[in-house]
Amino acid sequence: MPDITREKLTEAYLAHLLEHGKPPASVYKFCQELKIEEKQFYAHAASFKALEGGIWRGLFDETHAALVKDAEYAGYPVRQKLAAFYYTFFEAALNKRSFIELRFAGFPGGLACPSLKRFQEAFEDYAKGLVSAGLESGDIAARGKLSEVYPGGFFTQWVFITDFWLKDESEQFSRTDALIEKSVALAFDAVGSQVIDSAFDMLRFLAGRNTTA
Amino acid sequence: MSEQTSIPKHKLTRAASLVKTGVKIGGNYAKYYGKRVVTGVNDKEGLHKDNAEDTYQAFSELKGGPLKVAQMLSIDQNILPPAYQEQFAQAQYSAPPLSYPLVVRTFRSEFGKGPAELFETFTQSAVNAASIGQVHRATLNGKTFAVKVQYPGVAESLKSDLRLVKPIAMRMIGMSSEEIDYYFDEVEERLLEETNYRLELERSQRLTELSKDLPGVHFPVYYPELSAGRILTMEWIDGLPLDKFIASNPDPETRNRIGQAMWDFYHFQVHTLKEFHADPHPGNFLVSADGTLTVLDFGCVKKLEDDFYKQYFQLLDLNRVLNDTDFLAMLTQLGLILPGDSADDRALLLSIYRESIEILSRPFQGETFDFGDPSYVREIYAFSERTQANKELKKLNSARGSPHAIYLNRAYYGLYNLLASLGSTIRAELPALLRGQAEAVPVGG
Repeated sequence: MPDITREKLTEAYLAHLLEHGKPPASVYKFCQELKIEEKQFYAHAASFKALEGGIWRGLFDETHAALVKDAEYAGYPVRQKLAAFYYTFFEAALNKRSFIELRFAGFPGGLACPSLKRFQEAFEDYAKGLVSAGLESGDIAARGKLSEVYPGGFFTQWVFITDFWLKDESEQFSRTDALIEKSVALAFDAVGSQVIDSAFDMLRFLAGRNTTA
Repeated sequence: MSEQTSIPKHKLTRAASLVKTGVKIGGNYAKYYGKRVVTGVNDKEGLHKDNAEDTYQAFSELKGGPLKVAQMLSIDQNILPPAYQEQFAQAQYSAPPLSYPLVVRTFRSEFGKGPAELFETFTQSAVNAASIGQVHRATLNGKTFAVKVQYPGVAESLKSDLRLVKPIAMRMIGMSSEEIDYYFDEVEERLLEETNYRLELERSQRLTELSKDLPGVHFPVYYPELSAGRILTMEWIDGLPLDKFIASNPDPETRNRIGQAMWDFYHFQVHTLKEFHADPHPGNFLVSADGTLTVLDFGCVKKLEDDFYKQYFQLLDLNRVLNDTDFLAMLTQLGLILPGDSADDRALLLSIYRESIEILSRPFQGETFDFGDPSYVREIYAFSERTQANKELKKLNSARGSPHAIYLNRAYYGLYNLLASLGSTIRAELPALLRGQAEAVPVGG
């Protein structure tokens, strides 16, 4: 039996998933297809769900690594950091768009997609870092207990943008770019001060998104 | 923190802010009529001013189409009362910048690399705003660049923007839907071209190459390898935009030299190349410390067909303009007089067109012309006020003439306007098309 790396395993799984629209019937069946022993699978992942979690987590890591590597990123104000995260994420996500589409399709709004857990944890961890930096710099108003829900709020924002991106048919996804710009502005105005103007701006933007195709 | 954080790009957003304007204009009219009823004083100038401010407020929240239309209207003195122009002229400098990560994202999607990887230095904030983009300063290998980055989705939203602007513009200017369409189709075509930076690059390179031997006018070098669909890179030029330069109170000799260079530049493009820079607003002309004039932005370029060119510029031949039969034939050819016009309408139009041609072609007719003479600009204003107030003229459907004339008129109005602000005395000559004829017959009238 040949050795199999986690990358190869993931690749084969993704190929199956996207080709058939659903996971293999069992780990056993999947391993047969790959001509590996079942225990070789478990050496890398406990289940298909765990494998998928790794795909999501990989997207986060790829995004985060690109940001950290960027010489300018460290100098951005927090709101630009978050915008940079989104822009970078959706570049990385282009390689996995079909996977994301499949996973979001099963779970309206993507919120309940179970394999997202590890991504969510990593993302909220990252957002927590932004929030504390923002509290320090004054970009985010200290609102006691309320500040603790901000990271979760940013995750919801991410889900929401992803959902929009999956439906975006504009050239180079430029409407998603505009949404990121707007929703990051709105989020930081909400956690900062001027809520109303930005909220109306974005609601109007969204209300008619399908009227100009 | 003056970074741009909202692009009210979508139709409904725009509709909302434009509807706001519509409502406000309505309110201002109420104010105007109220005032007239109460005081008996006709404060039309005041009305225009209120409308201009409200309309400008709405336009300045938008990018893309409406801002371009605002800029265009601001330059066309024939269409826009002075109070609107003043407000709209500000639009050239008012669009706030987009956030840096979005600029990075645009670079990535065009080049696969961020600006920091492509250049040695790149300003995170925009150093200048343009109507559909913003300008950053960058350096590489000892060279400094101006890098224009386009707002996302501009090209897409232009059409729906224009549809939204239409009713507002109709109300502002008092045109019918049909007239506005005639105007907007041509405008839309030019605007869509402006969103294509590849086309702009090609035109910039070609037109500046063809114009390179003109005295007194310079162009930046363009860098195709650092340009793409939504990014345009050119040489950085230090200098004051023309309006700021004028405000610095230059001496008359410099004013004349700069004015002459501008005149020659337009003359060469229109009459020799028959393809011209159709966006003569002050931000597109830079005067460097050493007095060099640089022309920027070949995003809006209009090409003239031979037939139209000949028909249009024959109007500079005053001998034929003064001959009723000849003049009627010329106007009919240009579609300015229509077969269905009554004899009375014809007579009215003939006299109005004749007067406008006499006024507007005056700089061409003598050897030199002093644009600094305030009575000339006053005369133009007075003429357009008078024709706008003419009830007989209003009754005629004024969607006349070739749409090709729109940008040609715009270019000349813009040029006249800039030269008047400069107060230049320029030497002008008739285009080659007419020179033989003009010399053969003494200029009368």
